[in-house]
Amino acid sequence: MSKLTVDLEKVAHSVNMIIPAMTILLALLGYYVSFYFHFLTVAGLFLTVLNMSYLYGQKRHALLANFGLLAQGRYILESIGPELRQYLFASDTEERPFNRVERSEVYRKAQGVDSSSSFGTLLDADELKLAHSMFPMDKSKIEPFSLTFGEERGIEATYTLNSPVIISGMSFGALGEKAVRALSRGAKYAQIPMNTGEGGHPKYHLMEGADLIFQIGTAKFGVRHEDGTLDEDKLRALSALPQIKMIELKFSQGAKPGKGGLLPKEKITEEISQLRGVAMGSDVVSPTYHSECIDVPSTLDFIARLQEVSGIPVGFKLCIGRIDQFRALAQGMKERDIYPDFITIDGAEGGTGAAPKSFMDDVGMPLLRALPIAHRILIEEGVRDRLKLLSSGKLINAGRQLKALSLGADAICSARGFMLAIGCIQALQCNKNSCPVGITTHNPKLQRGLDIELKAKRVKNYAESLLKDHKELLAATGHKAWRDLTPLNLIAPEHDQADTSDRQEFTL
Amino acid sequence: MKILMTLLMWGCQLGVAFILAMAGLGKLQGSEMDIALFTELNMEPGGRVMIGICELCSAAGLLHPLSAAYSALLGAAVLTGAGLAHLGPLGAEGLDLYLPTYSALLLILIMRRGELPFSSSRAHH
Ligand SMILES: Cc1cc2nc3c(=O)[nH]c(=O)nc-3n(C[C@H](O)[C@H](O)[C@H](O)COP(=O)(O)O)c2cc1C
Repeated sequence: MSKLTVDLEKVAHSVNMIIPAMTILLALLGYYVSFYFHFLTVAGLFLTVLNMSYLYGQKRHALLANFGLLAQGRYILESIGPELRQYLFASDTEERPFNRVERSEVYRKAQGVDSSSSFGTLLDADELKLAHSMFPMDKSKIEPFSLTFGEERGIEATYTLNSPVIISGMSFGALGEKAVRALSRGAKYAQIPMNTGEGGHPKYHLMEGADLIFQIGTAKFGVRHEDGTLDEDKLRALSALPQIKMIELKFSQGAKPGKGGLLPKEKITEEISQLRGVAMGSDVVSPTYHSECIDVPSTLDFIARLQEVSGIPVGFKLCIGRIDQFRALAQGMKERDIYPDFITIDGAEGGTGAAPKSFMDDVGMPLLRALPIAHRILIEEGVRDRLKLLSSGKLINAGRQLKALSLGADAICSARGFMLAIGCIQALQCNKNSCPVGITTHNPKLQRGLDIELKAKRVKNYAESLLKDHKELLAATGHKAWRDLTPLNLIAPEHDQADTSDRQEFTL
Repeated sequence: MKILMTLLMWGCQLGVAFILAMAGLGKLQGSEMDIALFTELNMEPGGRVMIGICELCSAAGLLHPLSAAYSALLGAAVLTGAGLAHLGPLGAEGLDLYLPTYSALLLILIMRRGELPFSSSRAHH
């Protein structure tokens, strides 16, 4: 007895025979039965021609040349594979970078609906967890969050953060105009600051009145001379704007450490080319480093120069690579008595609008490893109390945020958390100008669906809901202030990702 | 060179659109010749109206860049059908414009093949 199986190769060859045969049959029917059959004859003729062109008229796709029309089925299914997986096949905890459970939590928080769940966790028990106290804190005793930047240097224009979460840098360019406005209006509603990203003069960020951290990328868009060096006058003018509260000098970003910013040509509109001062029609690739910063002393001098010119708190952002270099930088601070007002540690798992895949996947230190190392080095070199430590890298829920705070961070930055809050569906098309929900695109048709006011409220809801969760978790750890969190508040997994040696060193 | 090609393409589109529009209107208004042809094919009046509508749709679509490729395909389908009719019952008369129109449609299709699904220049992933 023969088994019933499907031999795709035979099916394809049969189809290649059937198409012309059917066409001849239909033509005969058209001539001898009813002329209406010729509607189908025409379709059959076209299919025959198309099939012949696949089989004999092209060499680019071996699959089409060998099997013809049916092989398109593979391409069709492959092209809608991500959607099929997302909607039908992937489990709730499977997708990357954020699985459905994580995303739904942000969506629910943003929409202001109940985000409680039932029955039990969907995550593995063996992950880094928070350690609760046997003696939780009374929630009403929790002190309001407060973190003042620039106080260590005693400058006048200090900046105080009243919520532990900041909107991380995303440039106008990576984001469309409406997304930038929705985020910055939301930031204003939620009374949190927003980082401008390296997109040049923050026209749309400024429009909505939120507190801003102006980012200077390696191309120094917005504050550059023609040759790419710092234009102090432009920086002075920008820093004088009341909305600009701090400056962040970007050395590197977790998604592409050691590589400059990248804006694909598809996304360069006339306005962007103006705001950034670059040409249209080709990718804009920022330099990999600041020409002013070639070693530790020159880097620190440049930071001091920025502090002096701007008069406001100045920090820098980096993804940790070589630990010895980070230590040398910390030592240099002490030696030269130059301290940035903050350091933002971006984990290698961080997001991006566009980056080469090899950099996203294979370069840089993940946040939960980098953070305790940086924290320890800063303590060991005696500079930890001269600056604040910010952190970012998939910190989209309160639990993970508190873990980062326990590992040494003073506050949290999140980019993709807020993108999800304004409706990102993780279509992974940020570099193509085709974002289906209008966030990372400049196509007005795709931006049409993004309602600034509505999404701004979602930003506010999300930020407020995070703060609420923070307080509940903080109470569970038995502390009344965020700064009391230590690695003692963590339970390391068996296969420790969070570097237990640091943990022990700090706590015992 | 590129400008010349674009001009040629749009010239073809406009020309074909005009011819198809006239043909389609003729069919919908029921010109004597069309009624005679379609009676011969046993498709009177339904077939005549259907083909007429297809011709008008194709003519209209050729005027917009977004729909031109698909409309050219539709036009080519109608003309292929007409070819079948003239190969069979109608005989090879009244076909003065047939070859120029068909060629123009093929030219449009070749130049716009990237816009059609399933065409070989698009099927790379
Ligand atoms: C669309 C997009 C654009 C970004 N643009 C910038 C940028 O201009 N400058 C920068 O330093 N980081 C940029 N980032 C990185 C984020 O600021 C952040 O460091 C990183 O995504 C980690 O945070 P997350 O995991 O919460 O997204 C961008 C990220 C995304 C998703």
